[in-house]
Amino acid sequence: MTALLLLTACPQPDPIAVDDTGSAPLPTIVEGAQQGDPGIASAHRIAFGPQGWLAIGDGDNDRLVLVQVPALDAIDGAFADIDDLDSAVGDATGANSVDMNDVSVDPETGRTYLAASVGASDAGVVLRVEEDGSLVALDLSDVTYAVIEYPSVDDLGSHVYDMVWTESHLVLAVTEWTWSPSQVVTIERPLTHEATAGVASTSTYHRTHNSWETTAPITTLFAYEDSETSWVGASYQCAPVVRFDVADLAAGGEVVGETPFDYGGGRQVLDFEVQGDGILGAVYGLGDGSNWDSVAGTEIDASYFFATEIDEEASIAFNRSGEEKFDYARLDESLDLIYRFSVLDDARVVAYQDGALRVVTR
Amino acid sequence: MIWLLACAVEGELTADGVRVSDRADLVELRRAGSEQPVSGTWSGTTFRPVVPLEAGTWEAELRDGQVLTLVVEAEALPEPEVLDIRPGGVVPANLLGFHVRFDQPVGVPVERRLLGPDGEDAQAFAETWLWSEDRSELNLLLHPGRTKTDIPFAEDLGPNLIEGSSYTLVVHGHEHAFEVGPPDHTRPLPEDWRVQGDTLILDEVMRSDLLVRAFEIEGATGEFVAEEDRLRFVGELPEDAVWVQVGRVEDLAGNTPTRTFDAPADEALRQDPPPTRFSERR
Repeated sequence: MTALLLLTACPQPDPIAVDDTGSAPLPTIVEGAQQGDPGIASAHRIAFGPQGWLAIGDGDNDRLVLVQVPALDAIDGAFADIDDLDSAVGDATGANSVDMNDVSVDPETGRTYLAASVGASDAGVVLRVEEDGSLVALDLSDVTYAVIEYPSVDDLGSHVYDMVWTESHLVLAVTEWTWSPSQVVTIERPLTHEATAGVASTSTYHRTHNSWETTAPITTLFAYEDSETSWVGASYQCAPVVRFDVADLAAGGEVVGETPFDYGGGRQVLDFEVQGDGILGAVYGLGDGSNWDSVAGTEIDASYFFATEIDEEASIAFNRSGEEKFDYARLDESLDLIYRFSVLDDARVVAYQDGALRVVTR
Repeated sequence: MIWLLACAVEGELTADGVRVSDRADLVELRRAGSEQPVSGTWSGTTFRPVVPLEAGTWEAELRDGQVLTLVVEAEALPEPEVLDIRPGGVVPANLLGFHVRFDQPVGVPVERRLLGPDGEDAQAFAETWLWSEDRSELNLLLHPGRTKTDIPFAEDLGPNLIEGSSYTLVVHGHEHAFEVGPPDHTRPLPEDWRVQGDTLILDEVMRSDLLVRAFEIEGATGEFVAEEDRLRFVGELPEDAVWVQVGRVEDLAGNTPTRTFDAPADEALRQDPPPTRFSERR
């Protein structure tokens, strides 16, 4: 009796915040899902698909991992700014060294997730951003998951540059750490555990120098669906922006893309995503003079990029002074200094911007 | 008095986590001065952070108000130092990038600058840092869009490197001077490679990071060392050693035996595959 009395009298605060995972499998998105620890070594990139399925680019293991995140209520998407994101991620994981890798918003809940490499072991982690600006690392040791390996050029590990969901496929751009030609991986939906990933070796006609594209790899991807075609837009390291028909990519082999425009040699797209009728970009090398390596926000009209007919000669959209040369291209200062971002809705993006994580209203 | 004693909570805080008698005993683990709780997983009644707690002061708050404190000292590891940077000497004007080797895995920010003949920033790097899996090697890329021919550079931007000029690459305090020679638009020619003793002699300087991983010798024990246009094997070699190419080889401008970097993508289809086995008896 005494013991019972003491137990009920003791304060019982909420237990520490740790996600317990695992919802009912949703076979329309993933088939053959497993339960347990997928053994994620790295989280280079993350991309949300439907029904809480999060694609994680585990380049250290040369594979894609799909994880179903815990089901949570939908929110407006706003959260308190995190002024020093690296420090916040370090505090949330116990680490001192942090490399921020990616940002992705779950389109169905409006919640923001982050991918990072932390600590001396460079462990890959995924974190959820709470509305108060705090972070919760997902417990990935017991989750509903699927693993799809992609072919590797060598045994040295690879780097997942970007991933994008389309209506019919999940598409990845991968390179070796020693820097290799483009490797575009296409995986048909529904995604199946231990499926064989299709790999398309892409070559594109490079209109800005009137020859076939060469070795520089694709670094960023975005998806766009119109009434007739499912498109993937891709930016190469050497600056042209190319459009592919997803059906062509899925067929594999040599794929011919088209280049509606180019950012110009010396520029590099760090992130791309479609918002409404615009293709938003964070572009490195659009500064001038001493700040040549700064990152500027840009917007390209999707109607131009995906026009059925494109001009014979691809245009360079911005001059060296960072000024627009054509009316289909605009600078957007609200997106300056962004490393990675994810579209939240028609007016807002979640941005890793100048060291902070914030919701940016354009 | 009895109530307080009965509610006393015991716990232990180490870098590996917080051990308590009951999960409900732990309110939160945090870095001192931070309001952000550390995330982690439970193993029995031990809470393990995402990674073992790194240098700093950490606090575990228990439900009875106790705060356990742990000071994790920074390991007295020496600052990472650059062992070497390749290539050096005279490099082609269309050089693709640099390979940097450190004496240990690097967990700190690394500075990299390329200074031109005037001592100013040459503005040539792509925003790409390709680390090896153990973070002891780093590939730094010069912007490929400014090494290729016939690309209209963005207004006044020219090629990354100017032939006949001198540059200095600074990586993590290590200075690496080099000269710029003519561009290289030709393929390496494996038909001109030959084995001489413990060394494979190539027809030109290759990317060292790829070269040391590109060959195997059955029955040999030791390691490969890249030395300019040579790949030397250090160790025990069997008699009649056969060098078998198992990985990619590129020259400093990204040209491979099957295609040049700055050439049509279908060029490889028009060329015969290179020989991939070499022995001294060839």
